Amino acid sequence: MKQTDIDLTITGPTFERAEELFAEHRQSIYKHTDRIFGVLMFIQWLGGIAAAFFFSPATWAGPYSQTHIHIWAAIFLGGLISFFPILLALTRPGAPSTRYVIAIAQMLMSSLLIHLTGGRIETHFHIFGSLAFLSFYRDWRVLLPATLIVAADHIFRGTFWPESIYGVLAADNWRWLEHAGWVAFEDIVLFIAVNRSVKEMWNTAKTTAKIRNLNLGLETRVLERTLQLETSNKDLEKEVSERRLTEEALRLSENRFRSVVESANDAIISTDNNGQILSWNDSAHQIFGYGSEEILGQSISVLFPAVYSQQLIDSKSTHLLNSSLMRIGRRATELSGLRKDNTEFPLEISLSSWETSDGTFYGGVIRDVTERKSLEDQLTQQALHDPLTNLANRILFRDRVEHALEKVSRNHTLVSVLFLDLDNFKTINDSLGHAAGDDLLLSVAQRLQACLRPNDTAARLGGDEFAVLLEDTNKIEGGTIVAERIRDILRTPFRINGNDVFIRTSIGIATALTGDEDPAELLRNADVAMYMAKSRGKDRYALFEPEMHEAVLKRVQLEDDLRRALEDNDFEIYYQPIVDLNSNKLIGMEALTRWNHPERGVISPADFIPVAEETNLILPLGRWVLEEACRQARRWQLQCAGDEDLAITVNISSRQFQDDSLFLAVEDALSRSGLSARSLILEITEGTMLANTDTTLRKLNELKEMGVRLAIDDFGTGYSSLSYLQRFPIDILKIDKTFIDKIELGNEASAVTRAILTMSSTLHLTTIAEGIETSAQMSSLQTMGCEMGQGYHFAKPLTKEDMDVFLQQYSNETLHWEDLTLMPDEKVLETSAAIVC
Amino acid sequence: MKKRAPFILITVLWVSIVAAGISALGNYGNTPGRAAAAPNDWPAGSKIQRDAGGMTLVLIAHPRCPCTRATIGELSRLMAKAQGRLKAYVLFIRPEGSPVDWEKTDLWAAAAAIPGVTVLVDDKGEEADRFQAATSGQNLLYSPEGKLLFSGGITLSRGHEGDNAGRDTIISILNGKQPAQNETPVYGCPIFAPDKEKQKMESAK
Repeated sequence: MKQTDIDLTITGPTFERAEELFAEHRQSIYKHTDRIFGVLMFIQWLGGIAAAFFFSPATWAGPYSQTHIHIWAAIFLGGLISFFPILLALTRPGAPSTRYVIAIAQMLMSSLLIHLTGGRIETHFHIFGSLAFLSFYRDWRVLLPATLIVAADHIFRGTFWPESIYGVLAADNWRWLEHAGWVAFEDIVLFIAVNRSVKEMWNTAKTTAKIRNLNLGLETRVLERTLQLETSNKDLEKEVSERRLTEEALRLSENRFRSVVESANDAIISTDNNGQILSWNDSAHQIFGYGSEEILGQSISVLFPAVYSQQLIDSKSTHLLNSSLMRIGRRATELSGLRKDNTEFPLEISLSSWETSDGTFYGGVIRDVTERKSLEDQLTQQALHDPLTNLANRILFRDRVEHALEKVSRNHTLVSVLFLDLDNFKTINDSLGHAAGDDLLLSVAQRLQACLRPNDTAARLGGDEFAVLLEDTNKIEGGTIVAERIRDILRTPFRINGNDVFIRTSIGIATALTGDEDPAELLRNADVAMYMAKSRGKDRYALFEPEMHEAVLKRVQLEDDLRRALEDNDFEIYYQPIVDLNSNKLIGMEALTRWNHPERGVISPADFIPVAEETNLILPLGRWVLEEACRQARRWQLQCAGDEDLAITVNISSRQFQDDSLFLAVEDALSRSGLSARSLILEITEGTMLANTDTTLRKLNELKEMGVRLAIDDFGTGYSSLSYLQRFPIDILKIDKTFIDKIELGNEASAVTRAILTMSSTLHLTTIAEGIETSAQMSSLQTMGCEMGQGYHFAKPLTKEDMDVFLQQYSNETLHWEDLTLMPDEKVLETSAAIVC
Repeated sequence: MKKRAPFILITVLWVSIVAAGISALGNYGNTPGRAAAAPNDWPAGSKIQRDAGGMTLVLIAHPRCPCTRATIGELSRLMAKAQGRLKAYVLFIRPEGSPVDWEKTDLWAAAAAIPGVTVLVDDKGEEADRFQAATSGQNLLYSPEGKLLFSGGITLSRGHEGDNAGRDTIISILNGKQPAQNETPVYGCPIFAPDKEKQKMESAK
């Protein structure tokens, strides 16, 4: 066997399969050939009829003719021969009987055609052709009936019409043998051909079976592989689907991330390991000025000043984002950025990094903190500086003091702290208004800074309190020198709202000698010294001494006591009668507040009123005095048979007058007591009226419209401006006791008193002389035309109980004033139970 | 087997009918026409010029008889074998009343094309009458002396060419041999109309 030949040795199922294939193939051939024969036999029949018409259309008898019998034979006999096999070929294709009938019919048809064509030799080819055609069946058995028919035909003819077959040699047996021999020859040839063909078919079937078997194995493997592939494909599809979902999710995430990045107010950039910029959002464009097309691919170092690049080189780092300047994972680092226009700006950068197969990548979130830094600077400025004057505030000042103290021992120098307090600022502020006060404070701050060295620190500690830190002074007198300089520079009048404002300042100086001092203590010492300077008469400076503490403590204690006294109602009002000097008639009384300190006894108003004013306790105290005085005055008016002319005079401090609630307080006091406004006289000092004259005028007019009478207290001791006497709605001038005390001497004081009285008369003002202590004084005043007076000559300030007694006596006995002036307190005590008005 | 019996029966019946038909057809093909009662001497009234130097063959033929086509074919072979020793006349019958050139068929042309053959029109069958012929394909062989040597057909059945006794007899006579027979059946169409044939038959009786 050749190497290329197929081994056709097959057994078992393959053999059976080959047999099946062989049978199927043969059956297919049978059917196919049956159908071909069916068609051909039909055509053959028609051909026979045509041949009959061609050869023997008619038979003649003389001039007459008729259809030749061959025509009818071709039609009917040929039809009979053809019909049956055609029917079988149509109805039973592939059946053995069909092809046998076809073989018989085909031989019969050959016989008929030979007859129809006059026994032509060519027509005999039909037999051989038919036999050859029958071999298409590849079934040698088909040849048998065909041969049998031929044999029968020849036997029959040879028997009855031998010449029709064998011609004139009919008697020659060899001729018959020859004839049969050729037929047999063809049968044998066809038999061999058929068998060879069948054998090849069988081989083909076996080959096909084997191939199919191989194919089956192959198909099985292919099927298995296909199943595997399908499974893999499904897995792959699932993976692809999941990947698509993942990609979709990633895309959405990317879009979200991109949206977030693009909408972020911060610059978000990324770089590779070499520092080349890979991504750049809109905010980065806004912050740095570079468009993405011009920055992508460039080094990140272009975004930072050159100094960082140098530091990067110095730190021997390869990446700016992971150098000593900026480290991954750190909280935001503040650096300077460099814009495209080469301007630097503060930025804050947060870094991150991630690893990929392509290396390390860095991401940075950069925020332009220019505004924030500015705000921080502002906040720092505001936190450490006085917003009005822009001087250092207490915190910064204390910090500076602390730092200065640290340098004392190191530099062997001194540090002095000056504590300044503007003496009359409150009055100015109250009178001219807060805006003017602020202007004044600002001007003071400017002057302070102007007279200091650059390394000295001026601070505003609050209100009208300033402090100065003098560093690196070599001698202890350095503080006093500067204090004098400050005092001098502040003495120059300030031009505020068109007015010249004069201020004075009290300065306390504390000097640190060793540097071990506590900053707060040093500042407090300066404060104490200032206090002492102020208590010593203001407009001066004082060097701190340790004993000053005690005095200040007393002052502080006084403030505490004052508050407690107000709560405990330790205050008492004394009433000093005011008398008509011409008629000696009692016309009113002045309410005077006394403080009955539980430990220190009665404290003079001169001692506690300034403290009350400074602490604003004067407001509740003044309101209480006003209400109590009005109530008491009304009671006495009723007690004295409704003497409506009995007036009560109440002192209004500068702080009270500046307070906006004064009007309501007066109105409320009058309303509560039932006292008529005409019976209330409010005493105001000259200084109060001088500050902020417009406001003063407005308030005075309001009070005046209410019906209250107004008096100027201690007239002549202050500025004694004549203009306001005409301008303001004043009713009464109270001549200060200092003028009355000297009136008997007939000196200048007497002249001043006379002048005041003359002026009052001219201006139609009532005058009340204060502090009349003698009859001579009263006589002089009567001579000068003074209308009213008060003083010990008539009565000392009396408690309300004593005043009750006094009024009783005054009403019933028409006492002489001389009699009443003798120890009134004692008299009152003695008579208090008996006298009833 | 029982199931196949009807089929076998039908097949046998079918084969039998067909065989019968073919047999009938064979019988028809092998049934000769009426043989001529040819005169032993050349008819005196014949208009045909007998060859005094050789044998003369007279073939009476119907110009439209399909069976005669085989006779013309055999005549051609006969003439070929005679090799000039035989003068042949083919008389194509033209019945009375036939149109002009009725006889000029393909048979006429075929016969005329055979060397040594003279084709003549036998108007109204007068020559056939003289030779007493009745069937197309009737051959009559006369010696140079005018003596009848052979009478019969030169085909072995209707329309069938092939070796036949008539042709072999003529050849034998030409070759100077004593033929086994002087007469053979004639396979062809009647030359005359049936009524005329009937009349001749009656007169012959």
